[in-house]
Amino acid sequence: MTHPIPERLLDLALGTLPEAEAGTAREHVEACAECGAAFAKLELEQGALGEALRRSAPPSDDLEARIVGAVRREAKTQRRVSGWRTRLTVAAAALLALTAGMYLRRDSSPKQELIQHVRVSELKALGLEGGAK
Amino acid sequence: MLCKTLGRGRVCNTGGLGLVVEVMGIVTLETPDEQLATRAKAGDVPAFELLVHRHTPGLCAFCARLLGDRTEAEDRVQEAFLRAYQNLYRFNPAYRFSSWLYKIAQNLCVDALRGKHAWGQLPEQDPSASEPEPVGYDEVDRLESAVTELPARTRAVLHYKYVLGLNATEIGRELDMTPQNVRVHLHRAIRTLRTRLAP
Repeated sequence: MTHPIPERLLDLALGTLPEAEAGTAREHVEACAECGAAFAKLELEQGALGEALRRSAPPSDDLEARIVGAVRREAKTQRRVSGWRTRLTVAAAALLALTAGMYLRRDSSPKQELIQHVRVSELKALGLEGGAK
Repeated sequence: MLCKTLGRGRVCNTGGLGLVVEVMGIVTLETPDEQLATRAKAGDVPAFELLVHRHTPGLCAFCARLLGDRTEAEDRVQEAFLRAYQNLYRFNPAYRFSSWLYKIAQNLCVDALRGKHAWGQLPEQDPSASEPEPVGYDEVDRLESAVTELPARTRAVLHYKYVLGLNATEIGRELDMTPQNVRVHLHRAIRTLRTRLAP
């Protein structure tokens, strides 16, 4: 019977042994008294570690209230910023519309000039420049 | 039944039934974190306050484990919740809220520790040295104090495994390590604790 090396037994206790290997190792631990005893010690150690690590002093009584207070202040600031952002967006949209309108109006004069030019050219082509004879 | 008012919400401890949560008139039993975070994202501040209520003790224990200082840990916890609130728009409810929150707190603790050069890892151990005996169950008190002397990264690995119940792959994801590296950390930590507690 081949005993798993201690490192592999620890992996089994830690749950870090690949599943394929874990099955074989578990079967061995159940069948072999020596490895079974070693594994039982490792399981006790895991239990002790878990208990030691789960021990912790509770947080200060006022910690939750302090956090809630900070979050509420932040929420208030966000609402205020969001209100200003909406107002600024509306103002920016209005300014954009105004600018676009002015640009389109200014843009129409060269178009008119071009149409006039085409008309004169057409009249020239027909020999009617300077008025109809 | 002990009830606590949190904004427009109420948390009632019903003893055997656990926590009954009441938010804006809707009573739910243990509403999932991700659902509360989604509501908070939409502007429901009491929903976030319930998350604060639910996670403050665990997060405080985690930060205290990493920093080794209760007062500093509480400051980091407060900062972590505030950052989480400010960045809720980035939170994806497809993922666990607690993982996201712990990651924020962990980053804050790492930043604080880097200033003190304490986020290290255990030195490599001599593989030829004899294997120390496992620690007995009657050594819990000494174990608790020996753990505080381990490097912060190792303490984080141990906390994720023994307190939060994460496996090597999940721990690796939280700490940007490979599962194999997590395994190495666990082995070294246990060997170090055994050596320190050896009679």
